[in-house]
Amino acid sequence: MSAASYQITNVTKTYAARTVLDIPALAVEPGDILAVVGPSGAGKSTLLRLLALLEEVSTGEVSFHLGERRVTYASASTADRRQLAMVFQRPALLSRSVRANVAYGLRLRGDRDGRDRVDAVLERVSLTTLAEARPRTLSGGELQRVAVARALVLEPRVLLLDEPTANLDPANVRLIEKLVREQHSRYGTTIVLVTHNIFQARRLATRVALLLEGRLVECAPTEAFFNAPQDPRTADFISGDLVY
Amino acid sequence: MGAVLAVDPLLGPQLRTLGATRRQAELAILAEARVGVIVGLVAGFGSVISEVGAVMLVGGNIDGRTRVMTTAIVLETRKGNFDLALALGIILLALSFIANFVMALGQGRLVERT
Repeated sequence: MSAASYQITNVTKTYAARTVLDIPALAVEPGDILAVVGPSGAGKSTLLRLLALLEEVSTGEVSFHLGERRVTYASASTADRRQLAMVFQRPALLSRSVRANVAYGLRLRGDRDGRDRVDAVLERVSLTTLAEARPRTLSGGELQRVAVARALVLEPRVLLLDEPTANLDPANVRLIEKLVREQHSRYGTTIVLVTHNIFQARRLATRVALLLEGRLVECAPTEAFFNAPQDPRTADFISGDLVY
Repeated sequence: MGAVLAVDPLLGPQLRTLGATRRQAELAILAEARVGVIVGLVAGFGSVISEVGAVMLVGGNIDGRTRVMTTAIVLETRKGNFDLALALGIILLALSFIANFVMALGQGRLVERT
């Protein structure tokens, strides 16, 4: 299955007369790991919600490319939407067992014998022993690993990650980063990662985009972004000098 | 409704990005709130069967067709049919006890599962 991609054209997103996002053009190429960095309030999460087809743009177009098919928020079918999965900063789980949470997306797809896949992914996130536990008995890191597992098990063509490791301890951060890398090399998944951690962007991404106050400042291959930034604000941001 | 509102508002969008349709996400949220929803239904049932006046206005007490239990108890007592009134009272109490007992049983099981 080929990787999916996005084309963003003249997009703005406005909430109650406040424009939180204004991007003339941005492409997410098939098989990219695009890290979107920027201070909080820069519109990173809004961008991700648009890519997840959770919200409609105010103007312009977010076009989701699945091979020859190109769909938008309005035209995407349930089958199209099921080509992507998203992990949020704060996971909200169902009050069922860990296993049932991980199996949820597969069950929606009518996959009744996904037990092996669920077991395999539980093993990858080191939650095999907690498979029957209830979410309210889990720690923050364990909850986030369940949230990552329930997305990975779907083997989506696009994986959207919204600050997946914010507030986690280093061991959990390392594990989750390893899973993201694995998923990318195994399935060629297109990944968009929102993070305020530029070190994480540097470790994981193939390309990095900087957002400031809803505007795209620079988008470049990781190496170029960090070593030869074209925009002075990018240079300020990666050196930690950015004043905003 | 309060029980449904108490479910994490982030749950809906998160289920949507796992491939749930709007309807599937709503069903899952309702299932999350099931304990509260059932308690609400039983409380509603309780106030309905203990109501005296309003049901007569709405048309629950039609000659030869329907009798409202609470109203019947009041009327029979006034007519001096204490035996009948007492018997009806016991049946009404029993009904409400049974409803609450069934709920308590079910609730125990539901809470255990959550």
